Amino acid sequence: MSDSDSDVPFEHLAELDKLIHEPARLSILTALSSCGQADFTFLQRLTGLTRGNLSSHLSRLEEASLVDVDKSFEDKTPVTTVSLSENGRRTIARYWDDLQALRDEADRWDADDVESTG
Amino acid sequence: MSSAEARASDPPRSPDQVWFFTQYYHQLKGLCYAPAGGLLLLGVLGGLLVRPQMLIYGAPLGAFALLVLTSPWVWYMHRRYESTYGRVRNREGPGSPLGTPNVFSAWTFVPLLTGAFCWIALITFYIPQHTPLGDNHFLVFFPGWLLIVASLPAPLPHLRWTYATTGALLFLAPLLPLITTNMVLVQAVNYGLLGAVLLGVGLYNHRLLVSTLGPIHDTREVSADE
Repeated sequence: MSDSDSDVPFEHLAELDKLIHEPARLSILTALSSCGQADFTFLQRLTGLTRGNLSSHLSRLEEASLVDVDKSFEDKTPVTTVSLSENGRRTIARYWDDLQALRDEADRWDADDVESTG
Repeated sequence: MSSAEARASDPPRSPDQVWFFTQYYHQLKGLCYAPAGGLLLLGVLGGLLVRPQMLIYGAPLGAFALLVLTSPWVWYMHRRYESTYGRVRNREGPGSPLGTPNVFSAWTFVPLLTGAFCWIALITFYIPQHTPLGDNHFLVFFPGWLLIVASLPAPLPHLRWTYATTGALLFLAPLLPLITTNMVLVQAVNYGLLGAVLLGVGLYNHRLLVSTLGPIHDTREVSADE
């Protein structure tokens, strides 16, 4: 993100990674970033998403190589385990850094900046 | 509409809440340890009524025995929680969680660790030498320490206050021998408080988990896998 004086902080919102910024996917990635791995049931309970929605979000995250999805059977019951990939860990860390930078910029931003940009 | 369908329409939770419930999922399984707390509290109250002197040496042994005896129940409830709410495996190795409130910084942990070391030195060396009681109440200290640590990133004010207050009580109770020589009172307060906190916080945590993740008897989602 550039640090020019004429910049308005909200302009940088468009630069945030939209794949992660979506609330449901952000919830999934936040949950996975605070544990080693979680199963499908836990993620569904935690995010409140329907089975189909969660599955669709996980597919998108897996396609982007942000999560690793492991499917197995336990006592003839399918178990889907999801964990954050190394790429996912780096990407979400960068996302939080960007968001923090945005908040810092917004804190520094005051009415004078509005006049200078207007 | 079933509870699962109702939850499916809930808006996504804040990242703080998502992080907290994932990070402390195992500790939030309150029904695993609440019964042990209830039995301990009953044991202490019963001991006070029947043979108070027995508490001096019997309380720590009784508390330890209860932990061992209730382990099958802990295992059963752990399985029950996992079959309903799913499994979470904690991350191996060091590294702080991402995108979380910065409460585990050096500014927080250095004073906490210093306080804990001073406290351990006090109950390990000073109290046994200056009071007639040999019990250093580590069984009381550790839950208190865990509660204080959990209170720092807790995403809701009432959660933070509940953990911090109960943690502080467990932290302070072992220092009672510094102001009284009545060892029955010291043991009754320490282990009675430990039992009450385990029972109270256990039920509180269970309620928190149920209100966030849904009812525990709703096992329809056991095989909610795709």
